[in-house]
Amino acid sequence: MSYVLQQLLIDSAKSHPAKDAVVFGNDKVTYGELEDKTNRLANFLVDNGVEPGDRVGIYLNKSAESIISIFSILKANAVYVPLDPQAPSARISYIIENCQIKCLLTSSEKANKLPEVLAVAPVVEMVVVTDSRNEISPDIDRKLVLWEQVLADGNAGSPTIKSISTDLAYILYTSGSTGNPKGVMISHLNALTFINWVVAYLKVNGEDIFSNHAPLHFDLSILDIFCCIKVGGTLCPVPETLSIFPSRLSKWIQDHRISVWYSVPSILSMMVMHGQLDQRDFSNMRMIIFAGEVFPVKYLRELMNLVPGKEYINLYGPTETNVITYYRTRAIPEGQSQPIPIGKCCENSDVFAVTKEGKIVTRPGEEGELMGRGTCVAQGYWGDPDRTSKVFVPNTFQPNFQEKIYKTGDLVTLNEDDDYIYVGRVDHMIKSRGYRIEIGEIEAALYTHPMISEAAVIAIPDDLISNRIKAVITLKEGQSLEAGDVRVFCAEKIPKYMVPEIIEFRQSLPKTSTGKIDKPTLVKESVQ
Amino acid sequence: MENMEIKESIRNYIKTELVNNKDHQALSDSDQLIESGVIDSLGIMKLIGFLEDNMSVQIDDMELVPENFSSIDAITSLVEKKIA
Repeated sequence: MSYVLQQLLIDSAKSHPAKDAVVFGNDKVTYGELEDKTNRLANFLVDNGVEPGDRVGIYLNKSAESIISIFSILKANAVYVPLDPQAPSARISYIIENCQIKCLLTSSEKANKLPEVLAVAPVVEMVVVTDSRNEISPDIDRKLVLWEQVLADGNAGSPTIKSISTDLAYILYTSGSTGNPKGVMISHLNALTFINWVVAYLKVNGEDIFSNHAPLHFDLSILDIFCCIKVGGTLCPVPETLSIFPSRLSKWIQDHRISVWYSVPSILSMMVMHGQLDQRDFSNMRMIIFAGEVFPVKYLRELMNLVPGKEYINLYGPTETNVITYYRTRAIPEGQSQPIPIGKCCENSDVFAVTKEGKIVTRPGEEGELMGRGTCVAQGYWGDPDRTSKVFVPNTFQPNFQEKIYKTGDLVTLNEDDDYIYVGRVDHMIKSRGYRIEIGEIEAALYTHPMISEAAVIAIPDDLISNRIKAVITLKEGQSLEAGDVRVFCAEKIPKYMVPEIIEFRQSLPKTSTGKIDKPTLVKESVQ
Repeated sequence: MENMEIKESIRNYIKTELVNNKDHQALSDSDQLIESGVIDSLGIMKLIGFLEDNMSVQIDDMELVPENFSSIDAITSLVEKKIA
């Protein structure tokens, strides 16, 4: 019985130790090696003060080491916290302090950014560096340990499993409306609810070769990593820079003989447009899965024509529930422009939608906010009971026992087949390239600029990436600023995917009769 | 457009539209644009739009490879090759 995530590796390593578990460039790690390395690192972490439930940060680019890190931390009965390797150091420091990360795993390349991060993150006591490709900055004033040393000297015995299924397994930070990211706390049971469903329903198996396109701090990575390891498949993390070049990416998929691909739709759309898909051999591909944003039907239809005979599956779910509904895509008739549904709830999870009047949506045409319930629902936001209690709420539709449901903030309706259709948001969150972005977090960053008087951030709908982010700014009297300066300023506070792509300066912003900035007018003017 | 003009025009576009890190504000001809994150998956599409609209070149999918976009030098020589 596997009730915690690390057991998925322990079991697979027992049944097929010689099989490749992770392939990244020239690095190949078999299940036996993965088991051995993760045992040594986990024992080292435990011997060096990592206690059950402690948060351990992973500050690494895609690599075999990043996968080894995840399982090492879990085997130490600790909680892994993936830090976006591209994020500005102020955000990394915030996350480290927010969830009190005492130990960080990083590469020699990333370690050189650490002095800036650690200057305002006194909580970190120990840094483990995975390689010695670059000289390590002498300014890291914490205990520094080399991974190769741990692997050479460490104890390879199986660490004792102390975690139980309701303990936290990982924390994923997403955009927060008040200016700081919030940490979604996911337990082993939360993750396994989804992983077990994928394996049972999508019938992935040990012959499968899984891509891992999403970054580790993005919850799409959960399917790739844990479903693959559970079934004893081979995991191929996609190098980050490959996504910039669609035809190289499609060739990589062909060369790695990927059979289960999972990514945000915009990456697939880019391959449809520029990926030379008609020249690729995808005969090993079985399944193309996508999630994170609406897939524009014209690109999805074209993809299904270019790569025919595969299963196309749309998954839906905010990080707070992992995945909660799915839809198996059927042929899309020419001329259809409506997006495909988000579908029906996954087994052992439940969803329902509640109208403004508090009634449950039962018919096409009715619209309501989608609620998720079941063991997939996260444990809340780290250290933030206020925001937690606003969206993780008691289920008042079921008065007989205490049950927590998650208010997704997503508006949905039903179609004739009882599939849910995504309609929009109840708040100011937007999606761009699959990332959740709180408009308020970008505005908060802009307002910290001493020359900016007023700022309004709006989303300009876009076929390819869902939304482009535009900021309309007025400056304080006598000040002057270039768009590039504003972007550089933002990039020190928020991740690159949140930095406004379009920046417009105005003398004044349009206001509504109540004196608020009139965003609908700004949007209208911007899309004309 | 003269060769130097092409290069400066590309540099100027990248500096004003793509760079959002203070470390990369002084862009030299050979600075790595991909590893440093100056060009990402959205940036490359914007850059191609700029080259196609302003330099009267058509970038084929086959040319959309790291070798052609790794630095200002590389992008300039791609454009020059296409114009010649």
